[in-house]
Amino acid sequence: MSVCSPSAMADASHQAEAFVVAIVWLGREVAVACGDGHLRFLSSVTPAGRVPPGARVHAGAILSAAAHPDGRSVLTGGDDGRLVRTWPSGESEEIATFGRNWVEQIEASTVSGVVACAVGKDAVVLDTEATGVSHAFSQPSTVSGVALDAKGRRLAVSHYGGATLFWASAPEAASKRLAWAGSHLSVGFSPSGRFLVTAMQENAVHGWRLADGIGMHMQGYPAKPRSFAWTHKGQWLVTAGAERVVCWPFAGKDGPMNKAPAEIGPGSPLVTRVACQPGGDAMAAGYEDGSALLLRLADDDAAVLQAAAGEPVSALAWSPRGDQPLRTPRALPLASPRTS
Amino acid sequence: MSQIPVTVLTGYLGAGKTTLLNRILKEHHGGRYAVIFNEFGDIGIDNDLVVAGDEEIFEMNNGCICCTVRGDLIRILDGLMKRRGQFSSILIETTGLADPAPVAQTFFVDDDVRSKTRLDAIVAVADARNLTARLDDSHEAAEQIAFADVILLNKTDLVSADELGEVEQRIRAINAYAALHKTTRCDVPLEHVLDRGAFDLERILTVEPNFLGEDDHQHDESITSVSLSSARPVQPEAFLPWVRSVLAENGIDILRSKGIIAFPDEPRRFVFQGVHMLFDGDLQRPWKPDEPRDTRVVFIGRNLDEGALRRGFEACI
Repeated sequence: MSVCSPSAMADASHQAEAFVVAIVWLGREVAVACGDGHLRFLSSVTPAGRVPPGARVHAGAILSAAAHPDGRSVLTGGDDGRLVRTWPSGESEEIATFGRNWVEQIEASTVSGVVACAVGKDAVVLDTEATGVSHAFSQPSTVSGVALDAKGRRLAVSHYGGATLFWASAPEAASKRLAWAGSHLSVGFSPSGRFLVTAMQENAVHGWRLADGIGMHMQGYPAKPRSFAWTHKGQWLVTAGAERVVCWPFAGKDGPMNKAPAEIGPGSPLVTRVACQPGGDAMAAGYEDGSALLLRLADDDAAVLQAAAGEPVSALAWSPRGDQPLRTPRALPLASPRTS
Repeated sequence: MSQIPVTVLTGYLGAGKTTLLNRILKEHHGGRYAVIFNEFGDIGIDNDLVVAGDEEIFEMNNGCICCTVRGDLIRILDGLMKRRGQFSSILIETTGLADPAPVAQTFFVDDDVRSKTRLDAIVAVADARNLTARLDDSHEAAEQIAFADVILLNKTDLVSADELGEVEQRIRAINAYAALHKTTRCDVPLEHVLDRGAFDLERILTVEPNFLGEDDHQHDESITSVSLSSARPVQPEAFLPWVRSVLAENGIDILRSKGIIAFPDEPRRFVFQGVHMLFDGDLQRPWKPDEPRDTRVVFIGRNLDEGALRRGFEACI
């Protein structure tokens, strides 16, 4: 488990602090994608408080990152319009360049090998080896988010006015549009693939039951939810955007319709990031003051992962097996996540 | 984190926006600009912080006109913030036909944008030769003048003194309270355009209300300004609800509102600014010892009922 806040990344070579955009696990190493265009690889043997200078892989900011389906390299997208693949050795290669369009999100499936990216008004799908562009699904407005289902075949795209479903590797197949007024900023499938949810500009989470397209609106947040995650069997949708972690019940076939959410964690400050433990019942929550807690829905138990650091937690990532503790670059002791 | 100042440039293609932008990028040494552009031809500067916007207008809250925002700006500003420390100011260029309201409203409606940036000034570049015709044939031209805090009346060398006088009067009839600079190639000192702070409010205290006089109205502009003032302090418990109700009831017609307010026993100036139904205000710097504690409120918009506004305002004194 790794928790990073923006202030965590002290860049020795520039004496500047970099914004942490994303944390990507590669086996026992973790790649930290930063707003200064650098990708920094850390491992459990990286000395506490020492952050390697990393490789500058983008001219501007890195905006998105994901593990390549090969599990041995990292894909990053930047505001320089480039999609780049980098190995822990620091070696990197450009996969595609999109001019003035930003590469704002990357979603990769280790199951199907499909990689999809949000680039301007396109959802771009890479070829089977994820070494170049295969095709793109164009939208009338900017593609704000992309998501793949658990099998890595169904592609969901969020945009103004709702979300649209495609078959990632079948550009000619019929698409399915799910409409809801307003601006949708990110999208995700439930683990079962029965529900699709978006985080909205309007301090709300919206969901659809895919079998019949019935919509469900989850609102009442004081801020944009932005970050959401599913508990490992999909019983709960865990969301940021409030002072407590708001968890919507999705165990039944109706999802959270006519049900109240559960709320866990202390009553302040604002939750900025959430991440659920793979295979376990713990979740990590990052807060506006830079602190991070390990929480459990069953008993509302909380353990401190990271003390307040002044700036909001902007990225959280569990190791794929959900079992690996890692010190933060800021050298704060991290509690070992408990496995169930 | 301190808020990054944002300057919005409006005006028709060909009025001189590109000239002004290139000057700002070349000459302004106060820091580095990130530029969000929409229709520029040639930016004569190699700058990796030049970002293409696409004027995506998003309706929020079920289509309320005042919650119409620029979705691309929210996204781009969020992305730019990841490049911390690489720039100190932001410049947003809008296309000639753009309604300035969604741009301005973005800075009121979106909490993330509000917390990280502040709207410094809306600068309109107008072509002295063409503005009169544009005011007659399009509502966008009048709206851009109405929204502006700073107006560059450019290409004045291409018109006669009479024509210049006429276009200046047309501008003043719409917006008497913007700072107006007459230029030939946008040759204005950049400090008159940049770092103006809080929508360039000082002018509203120095301009006499109704200085144009009735006889000067040669055109019946659909957008006009109303200024209200008081040498006596204003009661906050009456004033704030009044402004809220005026904007709630007439916010579709009122394009801009701004004011500097003296409250009784309050050493600081209360400053507010609004766009349509949205407004934001806070206590700012203290009144200076030699400064008259004058309250001045300005509304710019259509169908303004000056009598009703004046009566409502005077009830707050």
